[in-house]
Amino acid sequence: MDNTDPMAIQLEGLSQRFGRTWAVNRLDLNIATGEAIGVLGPNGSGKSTLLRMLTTLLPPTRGRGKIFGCDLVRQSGEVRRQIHWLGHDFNLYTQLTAIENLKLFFGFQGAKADTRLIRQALEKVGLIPAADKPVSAFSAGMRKRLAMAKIFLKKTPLILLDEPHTNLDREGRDLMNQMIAQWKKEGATLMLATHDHSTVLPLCDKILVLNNGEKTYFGPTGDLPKEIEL
Amino acid sequence: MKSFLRCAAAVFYKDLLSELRRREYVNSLLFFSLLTIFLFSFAMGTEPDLLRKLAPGLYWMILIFSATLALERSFFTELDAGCLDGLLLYSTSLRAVFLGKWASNFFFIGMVQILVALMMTALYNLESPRNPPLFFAGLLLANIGISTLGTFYAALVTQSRARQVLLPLLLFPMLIPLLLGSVYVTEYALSGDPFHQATLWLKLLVAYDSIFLAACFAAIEPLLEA
Amino acid sequence: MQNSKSKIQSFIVLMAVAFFLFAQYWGLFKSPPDQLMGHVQKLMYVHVPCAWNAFIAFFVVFISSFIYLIRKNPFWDRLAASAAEVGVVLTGLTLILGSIWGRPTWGVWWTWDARLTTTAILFFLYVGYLTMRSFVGDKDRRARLAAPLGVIIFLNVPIVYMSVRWWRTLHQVQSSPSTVDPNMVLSLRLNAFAILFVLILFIYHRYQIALLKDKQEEAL
Repeated sequence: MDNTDPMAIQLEGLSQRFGRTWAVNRLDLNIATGEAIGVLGPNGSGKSTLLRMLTTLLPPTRGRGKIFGCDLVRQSGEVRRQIHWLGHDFNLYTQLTAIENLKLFFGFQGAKADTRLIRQALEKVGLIPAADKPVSAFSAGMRKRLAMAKIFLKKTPLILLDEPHTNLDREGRDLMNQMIAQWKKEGATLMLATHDHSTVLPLCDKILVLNNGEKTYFGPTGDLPKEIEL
Repeated sequence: MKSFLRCAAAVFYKDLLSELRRREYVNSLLFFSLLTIFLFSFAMGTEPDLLRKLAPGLYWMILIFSATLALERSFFTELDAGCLDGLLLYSTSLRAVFLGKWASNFFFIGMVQILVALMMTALYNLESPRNPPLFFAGLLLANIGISTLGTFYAALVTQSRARQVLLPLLLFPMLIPLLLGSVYVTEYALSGDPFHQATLWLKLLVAYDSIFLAACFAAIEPLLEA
Repeated sequence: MQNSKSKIQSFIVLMAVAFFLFAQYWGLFKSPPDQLMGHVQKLMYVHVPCAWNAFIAFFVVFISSFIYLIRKNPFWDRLAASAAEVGVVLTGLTLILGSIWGRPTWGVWWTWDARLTTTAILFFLYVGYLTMRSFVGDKDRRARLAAPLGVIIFLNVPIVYMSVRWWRTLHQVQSSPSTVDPNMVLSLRLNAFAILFVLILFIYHRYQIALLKDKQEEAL
């Protein structure tokens, strides 16, 4: 990961409107490189929308955002090259095998597939025995692990995780926590959105609480007031 | 440049591989074409001279309807499978994605073209074209045009409501010049075209293809960014 | 501010109505009836200017869409939508009037005349454009999707016209009158300008409605 920008995410008045509701309303945020941020809030508070806007796939209705100094709208290509996003959809092609899906990842990036790296990634997530099986035969947990494996194939300075623990069994969750710790150690900036705070709190440096699209708290995990409605 | 082409190739390869493994779409597509040919026979009677005369027009009508089905596959299935985000997020360039999708549409539509031609020749007792190069030139140029505008429009309507109706609604008027050109080229190719009357229409098809290839390529990026 | 806006509007309305009435009067009473078709031919004074002005409207859609792609200012998107709507209305009028003219003149409701056919195709194209717009709920997305569409559609217009013309030369069909009395030309031009003012008025008015609608949405 080569980026020298000290500020990973800079949001100014970022807003997103769907019909008549503001899913995200005038959000100002500054996140330094290397921080792990937990985004908490009830369902419908705007967490997923926020993450989606950071991926540039959803242009903001109002406001501006910069990721490592690149504007979300005007330099969307550069932004996309620097992020990984693990959302509700796993972006897996069910007719293809695990290995083929990972090879595709390289292909989309315009690079030659690194089979050694692919094997390493599959090993890390415990999917080697299923490597040549089509994804249609995978359980939800396995699919999530395969999606996690993609993150190994390319180190990006920013990783966005939407509900990292859903679909995973106990083992899977431990794996996820391990990986999050590993990525943190490697210097990546992380953003984890979840409505289940118990799992996420220990992993994060700072917490952002959203309610109806608005920021109700942003600060260190330790200082999170207990009265905040989660 | 290399990464651009690799990305397009990856998209194309993935589409092909998925389709050939599952074969749902491809099979239904081909059966639909066959069925339509039959239906036309029932609708218009089986008088051989009439069928022969109407064959070029019929061919292209069937092709355009079948092509619409093929085009749906290129973007709608990505969205339905939850893969559209990943495709747009991780690709080197949105234009490369467009090129890849264009290529897979070109492939499937080409397949339909050949198969429908064969089926119609058999069922309507047609003779093979007297001017084969002209015939294939017509197929090729039409395919390029349909793939270009078709891929563009498929991308456009993917995330809208009623996208299955919207696609033909928007696409068909655009294809009218192409339809005209293709029908005439095919007609002349079948009869041998001794007076080279097809040249005018060929020029039209070439101009049409060039203009829209350039325009769609340029316009696809702001479109997919939306 | 409000005052000057309504003053402009009143001025345009006045110009449009006055001009239109004058042009219609000229067309109906001052210019001679056609040798062959009689007074029915005077429908042409509305039919043809409608077609011309529809084309102008669609050109506005093209330019506005293109500028929106570059500048992303919602003004251009609203303008494109307004122009498209007015263009579709004018195109519809052209087709209906053409049909009404054709019936007593040639005994048919529809001729596959090159210009009329092209107009029909334009009608489909821009109805499609408006339909597309109506199916996208979010204002920004709608603008971003409609702009490339607005550009691409217009590129087809010359091609459609050429190809339909060549098509018609292969199948002989009745031709429209080519020799025109100078008085008729004047009538035609007058009406063309009259409808141009009507066009501007309608687009302006439609734009204002779109602007108000957007403002209302934002206020919520």
